[in-house]
Amino acid sequence: MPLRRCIAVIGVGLAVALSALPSDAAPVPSHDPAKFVKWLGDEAIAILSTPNANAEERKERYRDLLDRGFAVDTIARFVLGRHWRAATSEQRAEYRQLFREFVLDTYAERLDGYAGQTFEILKALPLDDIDTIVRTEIRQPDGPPIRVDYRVRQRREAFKVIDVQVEGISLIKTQRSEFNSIIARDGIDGLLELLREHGRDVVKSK
Amino acid sequence: MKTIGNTHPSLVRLFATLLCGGFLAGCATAPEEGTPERAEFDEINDPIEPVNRAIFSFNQLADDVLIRPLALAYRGVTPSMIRRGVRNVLTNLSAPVTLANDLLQFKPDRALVTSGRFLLNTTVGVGGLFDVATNWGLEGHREDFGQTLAVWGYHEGPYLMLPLLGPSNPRDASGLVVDSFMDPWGYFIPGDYALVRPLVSGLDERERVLDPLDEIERASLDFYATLRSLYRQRRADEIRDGRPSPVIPIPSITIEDFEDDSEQITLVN
Repeated sequence: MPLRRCIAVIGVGLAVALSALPSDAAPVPSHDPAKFVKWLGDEAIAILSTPNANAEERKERYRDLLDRGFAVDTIARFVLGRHWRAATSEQRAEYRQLFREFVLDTYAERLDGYAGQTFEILKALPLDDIDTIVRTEIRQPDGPPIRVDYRVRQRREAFKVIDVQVEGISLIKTQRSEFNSIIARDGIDGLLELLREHGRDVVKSK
Repeated sequence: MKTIGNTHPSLVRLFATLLCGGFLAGCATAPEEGTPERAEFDEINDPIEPVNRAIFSFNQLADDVLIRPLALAYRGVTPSMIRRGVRNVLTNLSAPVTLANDLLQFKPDRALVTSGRFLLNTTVGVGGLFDVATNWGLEGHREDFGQTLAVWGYHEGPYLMLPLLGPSNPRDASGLVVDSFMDPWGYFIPGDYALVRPLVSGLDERERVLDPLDEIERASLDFYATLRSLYRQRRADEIRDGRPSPVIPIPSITIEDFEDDSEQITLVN
């Protein structure tokens, strides 16, 4: 009947139109760690140059990108190190939540500053039998290029970044060192309080 | 690994006692021997942390009140071309010390690069103002006696926060002293070269790290601890001449087993 067919045509048309929009479910490269890193970079640049997006909106999109591209829970667990075992169930749950907020927020902020710089992928090397290192360089107009290495791990069908090393400085190692120091002085609760405070400051500054 | 500690342990104990005795409250209490807390304490290797933190607070104050404003002013009044020129001249002036340390570390290929850069930049680059050597394919590097001591096998020793100079350790601090004697320009250039050059160098460096440092501080929960880690990793990278670092084992955790207690996470520095 004409009305039903009409609706069907509209429906199909709508579906086609929607799929043509840039979507957050865009396929992520899943076979080549180097391509995956390049994809991350391209996505970041795309977010940076989104027309009519203010800093707040861009930051939201960076957070999404980071959440998809980084193994946040693995990093959280590694960063807490041996204190994980000493932590109670409540502490672990809160830590996981707070850490995610902290990391996504901090790195989304950074991306907004650095996303515009083009980086060049040099090579991808197996690190051990699990991970791959993707070596990149950020070219600078005044100064030597900055070495940035991504440690990428494959889990099921997806790649995730486990660590970023800038000029030989490992971000998760630095993070763990910092958290260790805080826990040594103020315990896990001290760390959680600082993370909560940081989260509150972030909300205040919006 | 050779340290003063290994070769003269009684000397180190004496030094530590004097240091700790002198700043009674300044020594962090070492946890019980044999506990994991002790292992971590030894790994962090910051036995005079309270003193270091106090010096750090002083440094932060000096930075807020004087150094950072100066660096901002420097950036404000000079075009970036001038600042680049200043940086190039400073780098060129540091070539003799870098060369000496290249040789002391038995790295003739790097010594050649340093010499080539110095010659090119001094002549074609007009007294070091222009870094033509990099454009012609000779990338620069810096060496200092602290790195040389490391290459010779000396461990860095405990963390030291130096007044105004910032993060360091006994090995690197000794290196600074040796380098200042090795620097030939002070013997030729009349006037207070030995005083002026470090000041200009400090200003240049502070301006250069204005944004990264601000950003790191914003993201830090414990800025002191973050800087300590960054300093050490940076030094290790410089000592390795940028070669890849040892791999940190990172166990695989999935969302499902996030609650899993059985994973052994090895603490590797």
